[in-house]
Amino acid sequence: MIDVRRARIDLEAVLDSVRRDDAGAIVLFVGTVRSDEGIRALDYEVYRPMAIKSLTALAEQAKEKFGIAEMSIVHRLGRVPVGGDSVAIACAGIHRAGDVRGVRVGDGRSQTDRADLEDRSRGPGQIGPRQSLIGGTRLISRAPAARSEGPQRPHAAALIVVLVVPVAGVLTMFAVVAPAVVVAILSMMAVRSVASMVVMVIRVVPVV
Amino acid sequence: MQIRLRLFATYREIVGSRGLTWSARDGITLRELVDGIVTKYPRLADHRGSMLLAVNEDIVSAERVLTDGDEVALLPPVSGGAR
Repeated sequence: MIDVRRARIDLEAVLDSVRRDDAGAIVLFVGTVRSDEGIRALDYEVYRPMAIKSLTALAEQAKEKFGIAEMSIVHRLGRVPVGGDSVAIACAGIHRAGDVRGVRVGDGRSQTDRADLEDRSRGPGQIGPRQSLIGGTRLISRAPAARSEGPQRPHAAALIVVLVVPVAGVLTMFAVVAPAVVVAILSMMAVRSVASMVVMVIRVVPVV
Repeated sequence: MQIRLRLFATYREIVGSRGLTWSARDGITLRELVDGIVTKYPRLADHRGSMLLAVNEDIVSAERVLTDGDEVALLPPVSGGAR
C-alpha cells in the first residue's frame, strides 16, 4: 500500500496490508507532528504523481536492500495537528533475526551503507537527490507583531523540513524485536535519500 | 508550443494559481522557461536559485529542452528530514 491521503491514517489497515503467512515479524513506524515551540499543526500538500512514484520506488529499494517481504507507506495530506499521525510505514519480514549491518545503518554508524542506499535511490534519468513532493505548511502561533518579519515572504518566513524521526528512540524500542525490519525502516528514515523520496517542504506561517 | 505549469506552496501563492498553460517557442530550455516566468512574476526572483524543477514528474536539469505538452513543476527547496 502506497498512498497519500487526506483522511486519518488507519494504522490497523496499514498493518494488515503487509501481513503475510510467511512473515515472522511486522514493524510499524508512525511519524507524528511534534509540538515544537509555537507549532500547532502541519499542513501537507503533495504533487501526487511524483510522490506515489517515489514512494513506490523507495519501497521497492527497501525490499531489495533489506529483504523485506512487504512494505506500505501512507502519508497524510492537509492539516495534521500536533500529536497527529502524519506518516505510517509498515514492513513485514520473513525472519526476525536482524541484519547487523542494517542495524548499524539505522543507527547511523554505517556511512557506507547509507551512501549505498542513497545512490540506489537515484534512478536513471533523475538528476539531483530530491524526487518527490509532499509539501507542507508549518503552522505556528506567534504574536501579531512578529508577523511583520520577512516582508518579501510574509507567509514563508523559513523553510524547514519535517520528516520527524526519532531514530535513536525508535531503534531502541524495536531493535530487540525485529531488527531486520526495523532497520530497514530506520535506515531509510535516517538516510538523507528518504527525505528525497518523501520531500517535506515546510513553510512557517504565522497563525493569528 | 504549450507547456503546462504546476506550482506549489509559496510559488503558487505568488503566481496566484496552482497551474497554468505557458506558451513558449520551440526548443526552449527549462532554464529559459523559468527565466520567463520569473520575469512575469518578479516575486519569484528571490526563489530562483533554490527552485527544484521537474518535467513530467522527474527532477531534471535546467538545461533540459522542453517539448510541446510537457508538464513543468516548480517546487520549493527541500532537504533533510532525518533528525
